[in-house]
Amino acid sequence: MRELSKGDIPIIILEILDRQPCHGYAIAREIERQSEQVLQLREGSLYPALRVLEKDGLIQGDWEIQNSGPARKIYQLTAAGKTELHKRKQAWQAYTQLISRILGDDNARNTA
Amino acid sequence: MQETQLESYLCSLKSQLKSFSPAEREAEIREVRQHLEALIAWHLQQGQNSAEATRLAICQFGRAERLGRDLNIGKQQNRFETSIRWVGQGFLIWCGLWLAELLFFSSMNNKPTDVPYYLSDRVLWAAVLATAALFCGHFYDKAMKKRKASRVCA
Repeated sequence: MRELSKGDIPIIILEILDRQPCHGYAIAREIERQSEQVLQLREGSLYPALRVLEKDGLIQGDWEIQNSGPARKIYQLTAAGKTELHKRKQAWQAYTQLISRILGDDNARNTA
Repeated sequence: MQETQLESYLCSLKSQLKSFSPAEREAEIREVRQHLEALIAWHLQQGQNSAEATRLAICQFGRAERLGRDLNIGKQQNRFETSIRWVGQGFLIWCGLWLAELLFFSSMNNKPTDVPYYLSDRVLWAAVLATAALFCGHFYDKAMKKRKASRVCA
């Protein structure tokens, strides 16, 4: 198990909500499931991140009545959220490519 | 036992949410309660007893003080930005009123010289202050993001 960095939580939330609207508990389970139980987070830390994303208009949370049980707050991505996710994914990919290139060069140097 | 532990956690969290309105606080607690109850149910399914399931769920969720502090920080930033925007909008309205008055006097007398000379200065200053106040929120937001990013790097 590896603790998920606080700074990486927003982009992961956006990605999960891009696939389907979810409530907080489902987002936490989805992170565990998609990382094959490797990434773990302090589940309470989801909520400050959700509030920031809501405030920035990237996601929208609404209390919805369920078929069984009490109403739950379901979050979904907004149009601005989709654009932001696309931007953040591009920036993330550029960053990881850069790091990989540096580490790749380093490996090549070591093996030489 | 389960009830007491859970209630005491939620009570502690509730007391931390000082920047929230009562309705917002209730909604926040309701959501956290649902999340914790789902976690407890999962631990019970795994064969834990009630007290242990609650303890594990709370542990997994994180300390109430820390969560409360993080939620408050976001809320306080919201309030600051909102108040800055209100100040900016206030200045803009003031600026608009001065301009309207200036135009009114000019059209009434058809003598721009009748208008006190300092009016244009005031309008200009109001516009500068309004712009500064409105942009202040934007730059504050940027500075906070930069600070957070540097913390992550550190």
